[in-house]
Amino acid sequence: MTNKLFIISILFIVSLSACNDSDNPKPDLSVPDTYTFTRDGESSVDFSGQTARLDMLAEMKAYIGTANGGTTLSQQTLLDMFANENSPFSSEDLNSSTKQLENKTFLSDVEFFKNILISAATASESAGDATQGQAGLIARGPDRNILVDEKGWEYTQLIEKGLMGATFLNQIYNSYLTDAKIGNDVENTELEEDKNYTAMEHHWDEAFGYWGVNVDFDPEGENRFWGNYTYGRESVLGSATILKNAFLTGRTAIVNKAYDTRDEQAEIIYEQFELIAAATGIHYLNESIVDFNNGDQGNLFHHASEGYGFVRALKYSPVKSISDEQLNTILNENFGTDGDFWDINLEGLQAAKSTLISVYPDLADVADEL
Amino acid sequence: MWKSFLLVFILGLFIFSCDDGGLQKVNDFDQGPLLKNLGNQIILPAYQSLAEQNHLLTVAVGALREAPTAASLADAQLQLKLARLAWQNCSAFQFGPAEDAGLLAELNIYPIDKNQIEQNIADGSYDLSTLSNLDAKGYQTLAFLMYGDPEQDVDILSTLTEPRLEYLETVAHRIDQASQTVYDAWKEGGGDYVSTFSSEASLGVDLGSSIGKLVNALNQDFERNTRDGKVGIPVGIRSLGETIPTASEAYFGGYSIELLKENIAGYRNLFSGGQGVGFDDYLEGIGAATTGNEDLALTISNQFDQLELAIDQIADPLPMAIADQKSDVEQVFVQMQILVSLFKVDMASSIGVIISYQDNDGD
Repeated sequence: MTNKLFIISILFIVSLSACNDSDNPKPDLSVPDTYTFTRDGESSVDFSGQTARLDMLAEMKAYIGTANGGTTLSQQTLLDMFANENSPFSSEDLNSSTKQLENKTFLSDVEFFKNILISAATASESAGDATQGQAGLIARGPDRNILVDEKGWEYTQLIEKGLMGATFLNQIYNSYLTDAKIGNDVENTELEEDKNYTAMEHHWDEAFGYWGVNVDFDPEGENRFWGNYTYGRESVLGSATILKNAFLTGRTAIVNKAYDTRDEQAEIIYEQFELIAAATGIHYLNESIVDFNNGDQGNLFHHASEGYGFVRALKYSPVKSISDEQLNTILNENFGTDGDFWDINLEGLQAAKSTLISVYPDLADVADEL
Repeated sequence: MWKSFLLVFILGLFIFSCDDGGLQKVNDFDQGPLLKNLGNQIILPAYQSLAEQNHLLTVAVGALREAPTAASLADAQLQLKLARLAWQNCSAFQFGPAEDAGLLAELNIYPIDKNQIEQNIADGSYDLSTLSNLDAKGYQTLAFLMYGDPEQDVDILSTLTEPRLEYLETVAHRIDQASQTVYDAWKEGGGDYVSTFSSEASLGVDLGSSIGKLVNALNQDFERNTRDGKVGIPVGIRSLGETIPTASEAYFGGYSIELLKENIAGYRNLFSGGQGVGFDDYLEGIGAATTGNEDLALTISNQFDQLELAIDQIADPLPMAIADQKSDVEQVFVQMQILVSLFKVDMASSIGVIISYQDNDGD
């Protein structure tokens, strides 16, 4: 139901936008169904740098994940993967790429993530049973373990969900959709040297690339990282459809030089990613509450690590609805004192969920379904 | 523009909320009498009994702390067993108030962590609400302190020092409080969830409906706690082939199978609705059939017979049964697994409930 009305809303906006811009003398490009834009018969879309970074995080996560099975991680390899130095990846294309994750990560969080990587390597060296204050392995279900730090943070999740926020979302929010990158002063007539796109077009495409969906918007196609989670909430929130329309409409508006429409779509993108992060945070809080009720520590660490990462991602929005104080309370009290998951209790999980619902009232009616 | 989006959104809400206003009857079965019967005649009395038994348990543990004698210990042990039997009739209802209060986490997480308990007692200060103490409280913790390890011949009374007695009473008190909270939330004159449970707004088969919640909760409990916790893990089927007798529900008291029988009887009572409308009537009302086109209600009822027969082949204590007649214990698991499939696949899909809980989701 929500899904439908979101689509209706979007269609309505799209139709209004079309009216606003109708004073343009040239026939406007209409909004396509897939993320395909061309100039002179050739594609004008390129976000290969973003795809490379998505690939890097995927490989990094997979490598850290081997520690769950008892493999010792190399600290140097982990830091190299973060900075793309010394050919750390199995893919030669990635090793030779000029792209890296570290220099696109929210600057004041770089040390935070490096420390997690260093801690992961140390913990993997002699992983015994995890206890409060002691990193180690803990059973998640009957047939596998996860490696967690001294606070119960699962390394793979903190890195994956953490960098989804600090790198990918940060780049969308604080770089590519800012005035510096898509504002009216950015070049949108002359093509970039040896390229088939303008600077403004390219910046929009780079924001799109960090979303991680396939250009055909096939829910069953490859949807990674935020793409995976937006489609994960699609049935309840319609979030993937809203973002799809916003990205397509905004990119079309850039071609048509319809800048009011572009700005409206950028605003939708800002709001939607925040809503998706909050909704996914609630999803994992729900899972954590179930785990707590089942006395299932291993799954609780897993789900709390994911939830913590998604809630933490909210901080990167420059226009976020949640206050710093609310964020701090959730991360450093509700998720245990200073985020020590061993101190988590049921009231804290419920309080975190209530706070998110109060800040994002659109989620109130669906909070238990998330 | 953003405003118009909101406007459309709000407008949309109105339109769609009108759509959903009507009474939902699924497959022409009137859920009202079913939910009234289950709520008033099955669930509420079960929670009332649990609250009463847990209170008696707390009183008995208090008396034990006051004067630790053979008689007061025996009484506390008896009250513990009665409380655990009462819990068997509530385990299927871990949704709504029970989930809010964390009832299962407070009462019946096992196996417990003996080291954590000893550490807490030695430290003398502990916050039993936290994740780190999830396996250091509940019934099994009480049993551990009141019976001791069955492998060791210890005069348990002599071990009951004041710090241990204090821990016992703290744990018992939490059990008492949690179950009282849940009973209060369900009863009329309290939170009256029993009325909410059968209200028109709760009809239907969505995840938010009462049937949606109950079917999910009972499936999760039956699969996770009854099948795996009570049998599958101790006997090794759900623990990678390694038997873990110490993971039995009443390892310290030695009456795990007795608890299992009570639990199955509770499930049977829930299914049949006791003297009133139950799931069997629901399934008959909608003409539900198995994939082999058999009458589903009858098939489930017969499967309860098979399961009870299998359980009758084994006797407490469960660790001894696992050692002496493992295949008979495994047979109990097999019969439970058939019932899981009937509940989770046939019954849920016939009614139209989506099973939303996950056991160890992918990633």
